[in-house]
Amino acid sequence: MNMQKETERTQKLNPLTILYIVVALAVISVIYDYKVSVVCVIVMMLVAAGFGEFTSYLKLWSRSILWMCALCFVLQIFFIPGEDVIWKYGVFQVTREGLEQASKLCSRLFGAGSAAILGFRLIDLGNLMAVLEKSGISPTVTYVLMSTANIIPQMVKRMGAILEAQKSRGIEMESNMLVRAKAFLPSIGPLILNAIVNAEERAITLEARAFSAPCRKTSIKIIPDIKTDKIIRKLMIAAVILAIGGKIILWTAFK
Amino acid sequence: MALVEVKNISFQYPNGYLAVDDVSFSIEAGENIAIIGQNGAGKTTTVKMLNGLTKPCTGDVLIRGESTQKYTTAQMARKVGYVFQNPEDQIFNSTVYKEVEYGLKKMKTPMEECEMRVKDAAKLTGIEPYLDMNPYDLPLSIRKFVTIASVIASDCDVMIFDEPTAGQDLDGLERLSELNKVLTNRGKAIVTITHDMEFVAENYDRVIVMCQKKVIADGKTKDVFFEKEIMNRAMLKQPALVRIANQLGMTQNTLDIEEVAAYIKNGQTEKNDAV
Amino acid sequence: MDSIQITNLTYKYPISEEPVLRNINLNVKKGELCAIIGANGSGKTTLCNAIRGFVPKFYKGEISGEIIVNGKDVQKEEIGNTALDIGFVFQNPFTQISGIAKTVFEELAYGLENMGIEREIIIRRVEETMRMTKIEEFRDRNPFQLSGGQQQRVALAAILVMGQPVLVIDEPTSQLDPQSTDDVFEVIKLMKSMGKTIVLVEHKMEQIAEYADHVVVLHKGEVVMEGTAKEVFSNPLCEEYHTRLPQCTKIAGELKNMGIDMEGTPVTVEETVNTIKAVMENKRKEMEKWRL
Repeated sequence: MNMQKETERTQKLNPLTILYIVVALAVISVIYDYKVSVVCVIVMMLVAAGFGEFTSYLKLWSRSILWMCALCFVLQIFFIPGEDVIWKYGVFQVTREGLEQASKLCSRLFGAGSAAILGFRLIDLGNLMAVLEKSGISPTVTYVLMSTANIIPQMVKRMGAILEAQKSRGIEMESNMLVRAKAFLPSIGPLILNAIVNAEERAITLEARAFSAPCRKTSIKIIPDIKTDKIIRKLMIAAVILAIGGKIILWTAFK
Repeated sequence: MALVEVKNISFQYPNGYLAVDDVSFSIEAGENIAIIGQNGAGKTTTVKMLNGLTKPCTGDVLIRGESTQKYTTAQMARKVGYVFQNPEDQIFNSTVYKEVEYGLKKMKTPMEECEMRVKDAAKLTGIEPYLDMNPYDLPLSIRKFVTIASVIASDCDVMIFDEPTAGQDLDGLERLSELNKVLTNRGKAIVTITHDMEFVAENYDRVIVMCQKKVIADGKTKDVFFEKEIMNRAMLKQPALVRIANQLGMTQNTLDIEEVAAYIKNGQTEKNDAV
Repeated sequence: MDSIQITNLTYKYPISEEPVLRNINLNVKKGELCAIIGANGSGKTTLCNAIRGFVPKFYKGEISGEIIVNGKDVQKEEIGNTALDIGFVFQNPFTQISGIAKTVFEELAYGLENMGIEREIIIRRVEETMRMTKIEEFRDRNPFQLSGGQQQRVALAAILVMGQPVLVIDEPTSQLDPQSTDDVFEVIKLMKSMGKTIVLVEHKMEQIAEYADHVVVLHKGEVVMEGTAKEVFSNPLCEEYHTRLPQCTKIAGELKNMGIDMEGTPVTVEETVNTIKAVMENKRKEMEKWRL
């Protein structure tokens, strides 16, 4: 069956295990400096490659995180004031303090952001929710997470329809920023009102599908959790504990 | 020169999907036409090119002789009004009155005229009792009339109604029929997309049939509805009166029940005379 | 036996001054397709919500009277329990997609998962329902990527698969084109052939004339007429209640007014043509007699 084939292809590991890997890498890169962050991101690339998702990950990553970090870095080094000027051109100047501060913040963003993108790329949200539900998380929580992820693309589509409708009644949107800013309420208003109306109807849909039926829910998804998964998860926990411990030692030693 | 001239327009999405293929027609002021066809036949994309929401890849649309290419959709809104299929896509004001007035304010219409036009549009669409209410407290069928009123108030020359008949009851259909008449008398050109063949038979003199991105028929409603081959190709059902007239062996195309009645009475005497 | 028994049902929404449903008494037999018609605002949707128990549990408001479905008092049941007895489908195809499933297959499975059915049985039932409702071609598609008509069929299938004996279906075709409407009615026909008890709100009178066993006219929250399609549509009161008639019935009525002496009230084209032909034939015979 198609569905199972797909599961085998993309889910070599239990989604919970991938979540552990992603969170561990994020935590490690956030608590250490940029050198460790870079190493962590390289590890993430390798993990992506291991899942056969290297190119797609690199594409998404370079378009989002890389740009965001570069922008953030530039803004930070110019705007954080400091004493020790190391470079100056007209009104622009870079200080050592600014550089330090910027690299610290950007390295965190770099590590955590890259990890988030990796998770987004590798984890099948539906499968993850099925695992979480099995381990006792309320179906309401998993439903909210799932439906939000699924409905956002629909809202984007809806936004397109709303923009068309508002243009058709004479609201200019194809001009400068000021004109577009004026069009904000007419474009966002219907979207929010729609979301409210839809939420009520979707609640009825859920009731119709026996969401609150008083019985134990089952799942058609079979998500294997093998020995490797358990080992990796334990390793990740150990890595995080070691990293935090190491950080504390370094911190007290230099104090 | 016709009010609306559509000249060989085609539209292809960037992904290569052809949505409208070489469509031409023209509409005079005071004309009331229906566009019919299955979903996916290209009806909505075609009418979106009338107000410049979608710009044709080839061909041109002229409104009073001017190409829509030169204007943004918002500028076109003064000439071409568009009522969307889904009223939720445009309603955002807190009262029905404000909603209908919104477009007029955008066009900087003087106060008194604003009020006059809103009242007139509300009367035509039967939403007068709801003017102070929140549009979202109204049922969908009435909300549709709120969006129709917004377009009527803006007093444009061409009005496009996308599926106004969906979900309407008898009263709603009668109101639509009535406002079509009033608006055409005022010299407006009205283009309606609808799936309700009975409503088309009763209210439109001219019909355009679209099928697989093309116009496959454009003519008098009674003639088009009697073309069984065209109706079948477009996967449309002939209205009951047409099917009855056909099965009774009438040779004259008619949507007028009195003519059918006359045929039933006279067809008899004629046959008798022959005997 | 009656699947649905409604006695003296009156209901008022929290913000409205007037009741939307007034003293409704209605019985629907097991396996019957009961069509509810009437002008917009006559209370059709509210009645559907009341039968399913969403009124007053979901919408609050004041209710009196009794609704018994399959022997159970809907108002006393937990809202989650009623889901196992009554299927519910409504107008908007888009909001009837759960938003939790990535494929149509999962969408159909969702209700059964919530009911705690075993995996193997779910898969079997979903397969079977997809085949019967002819939606197999969509099985791996994202339900949000389907057209409105296809979504509505998926919504019907997602309820049908749950296997409740009573189905409440509120204006399933009002946003669909003629072809999709026919497709949806194919599914409703299938449901009826499976012996489901169906309450259907619909504006398309041709289809009602063809499929409904029992037609109920609501007017300002009251049941004002009831009977077979023929009985209801032939009643001149229909017009007073602003009910649209099947095209043929309307045509026949107008022909009668124009002095053509037709018998009965036809509801389909064939019936109309046959009655007219009979009239013509009679006349011809009469004329011949007169000539002789």
